[in-house]
Amino acid sequence: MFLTRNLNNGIELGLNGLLVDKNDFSWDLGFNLAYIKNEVKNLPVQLIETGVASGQGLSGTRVQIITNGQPVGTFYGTVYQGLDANGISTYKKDANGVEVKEYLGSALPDFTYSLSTKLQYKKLDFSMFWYGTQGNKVYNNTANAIFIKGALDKGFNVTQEVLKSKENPSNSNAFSSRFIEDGSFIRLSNITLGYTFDTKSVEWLGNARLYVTGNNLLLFTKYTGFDPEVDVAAAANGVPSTGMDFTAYPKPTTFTIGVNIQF
Amino acid sequence: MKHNKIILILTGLSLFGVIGCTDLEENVLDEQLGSNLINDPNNVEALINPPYGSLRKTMEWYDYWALQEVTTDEVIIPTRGTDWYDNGAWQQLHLHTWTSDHERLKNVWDGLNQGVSRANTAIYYIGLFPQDATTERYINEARFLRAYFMYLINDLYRQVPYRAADELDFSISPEVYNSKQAIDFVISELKEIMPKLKTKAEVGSDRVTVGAAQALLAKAYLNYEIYGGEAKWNDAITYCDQLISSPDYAVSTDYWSMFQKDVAEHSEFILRVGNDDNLDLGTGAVWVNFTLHYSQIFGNITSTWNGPSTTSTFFNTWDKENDARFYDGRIMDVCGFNQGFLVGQQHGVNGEELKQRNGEPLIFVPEMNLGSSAENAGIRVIKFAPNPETQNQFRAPNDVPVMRISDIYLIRAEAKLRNGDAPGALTDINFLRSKRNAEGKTLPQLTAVTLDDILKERGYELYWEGLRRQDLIRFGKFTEAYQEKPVTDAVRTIFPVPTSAADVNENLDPNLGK
Repeated sequence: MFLTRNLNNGIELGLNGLLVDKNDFSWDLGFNLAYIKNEVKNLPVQLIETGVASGQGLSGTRVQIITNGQPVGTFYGTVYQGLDANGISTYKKDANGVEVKEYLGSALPDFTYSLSTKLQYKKLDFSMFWYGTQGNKVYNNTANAIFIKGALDKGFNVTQEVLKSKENPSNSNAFSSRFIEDGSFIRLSNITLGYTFDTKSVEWLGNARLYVTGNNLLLFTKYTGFDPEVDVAAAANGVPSTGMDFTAYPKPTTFTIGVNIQF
Repeated sequence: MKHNKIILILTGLSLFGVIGCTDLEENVLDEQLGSNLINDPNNVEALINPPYGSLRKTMEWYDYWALQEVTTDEVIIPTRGTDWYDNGAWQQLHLHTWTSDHERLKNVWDGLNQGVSRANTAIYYIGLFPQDATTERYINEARFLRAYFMYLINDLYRQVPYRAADELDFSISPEVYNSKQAIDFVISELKEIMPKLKTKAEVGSDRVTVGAAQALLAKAYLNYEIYGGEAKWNDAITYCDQLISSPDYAVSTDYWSMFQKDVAEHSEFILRVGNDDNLDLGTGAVWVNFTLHYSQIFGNITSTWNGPSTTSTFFNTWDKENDARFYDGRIMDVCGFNQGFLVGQQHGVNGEELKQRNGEPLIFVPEMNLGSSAENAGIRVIKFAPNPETQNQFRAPNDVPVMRISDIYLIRAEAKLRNGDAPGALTDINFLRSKRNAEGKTLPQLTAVTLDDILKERGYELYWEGLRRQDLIRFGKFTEAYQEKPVTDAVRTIFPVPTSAADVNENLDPNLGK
């Protein structure tokens, strides 16, 4: 009997402040920070593979493992060291010239955070919500499968970076750290601006408010895909994966104009 | 400022540790222990079919076939740009750099052991029916198939898990036979069931026959020096003699006749895997799709994969002018290509010169780089003729020989030569060569025969039929250098058991083959 442990240690800190509270002006501010360290212990096997890559030339490729001493969601593969003079990928090798596989970081973030604020001035109200993650990795399977020089040679569309790169069309699109990216981001998730009308003079009307809301307004990230906040299902043998991006549809930016009327 | 109230609420400051323990105690609510199963005689058929399904799977290009071929000079699958890297699977097989986590090693291990398990299920449950001639026949067929799968596992991994068919306590890890124990078990099983099996004339070569048992015994004894550490050439010759003297088998004067579409029975076949492109048999055998270039499409075959090729090392051993086995043009009119080796400019069905996807002419060349090749790199091989009118392009219309009589002549020639009977070996080789002529081609007879000649002849006769690795190991040539492969270590003649298997059965040796 093995007792596999999936150990989570962390700290979560939340701060909410009512900074100003006057008759015609108030200001709320909230901040939340969560840090978590995950580690797998006592797994009775060496490793469990998951994260099935999609795309041509990637059959049988599994990019993520569960193994002792590492967090779940750990990416595992060869370490990309750029293109050689012929435009062929080079990888880190050991003393015998054999390509080595290393842990390439986890899809779990080091910490997540959020910031919310709300201002009220007379009949006007304004609220805003930001959140983000730091230190998580994302597997850009889309780039691994489609955005390589070999795809251009076959007549597929590629990104400008691929078009300009010195990569040889014969270069293999083997999975490696080349396609593991920093998925850290800060997102302006929501802004709402509202105005509440004075309805005292209208007997049949209880309350009336006009508002404008914008969702998903800004995103700051180094991730080269559409959206680092992504997780396409890529389970292997029922073992779930995390932090996989394969042709995921990006989050839309939406605007809503609304009226609340109460009778 | 006095109205400003600053309220700090520490909503959550928590330190937590979560431990997930899962107690995998199984609660069996219901189990089919054969109560109704054995009352319906129709279920006998249903029990014998699964191990035959496992036999079919061994002859899939990505299964057992791949481990016997891609590791050798007969098949090379270079990575061509974004195609065919597949987690390094094919490069590692060719370079002999696989590890115990290799996906093919795992899938083949699982598939063959599943075959053993299916055969055991058949043996046990068919044994519970009222016994008659049919049940006895099927139990013996299942015992042959179990022996065959164990033979293959032993050939690849040199250690074989074994659980008796009536051992139903699955909480106990199966015992593991070492190579000698395994091959001795296979031989004793075959000898016991052989007299009870039907003949090819009675049931056809898509069923297990007495000939199949004789052929597997011949192979087991031919390789006994590798598996059991002792030469047994005379035993190999004995079983070859029995097959060669049988009226059920004959070497064909038309080599390519057995590789045409819709050939069901053939005088060469001892054991075959039946295929039919109109039937969904669960597996396909895409013998043309996997090697042809993307531009080589014809009839209803519209998806070709530009994969496996052969090495220049193997190609250069051939007598290209005189050997009928090198080239046959009978399917050119409907396919645009020949059977045998595809080299140079390729043509469409109407004779037009085909192009690569980047517009360059499609000229197959032997030069390649295993890690990064152009689309036209590699000479292709077509053994089985497709059906251009097929409604199911990923199912082959060809019955695939697992064992055939020409192989038996070559086994006998080799055993005789190794046993000191060079004239006898020469007679067998020259008999086979005399059947490998065609219109305008006369294959010269040999005047003397060496072991090297026999290995070459096996290559000419049996290329791409899933036998090469076993042959190269027996001739001590598996670790030699060939195209895009350096000399490799002798430990590579044995595959390590997959990590996933070693993790769950402590009786397996995880270090064998490492």
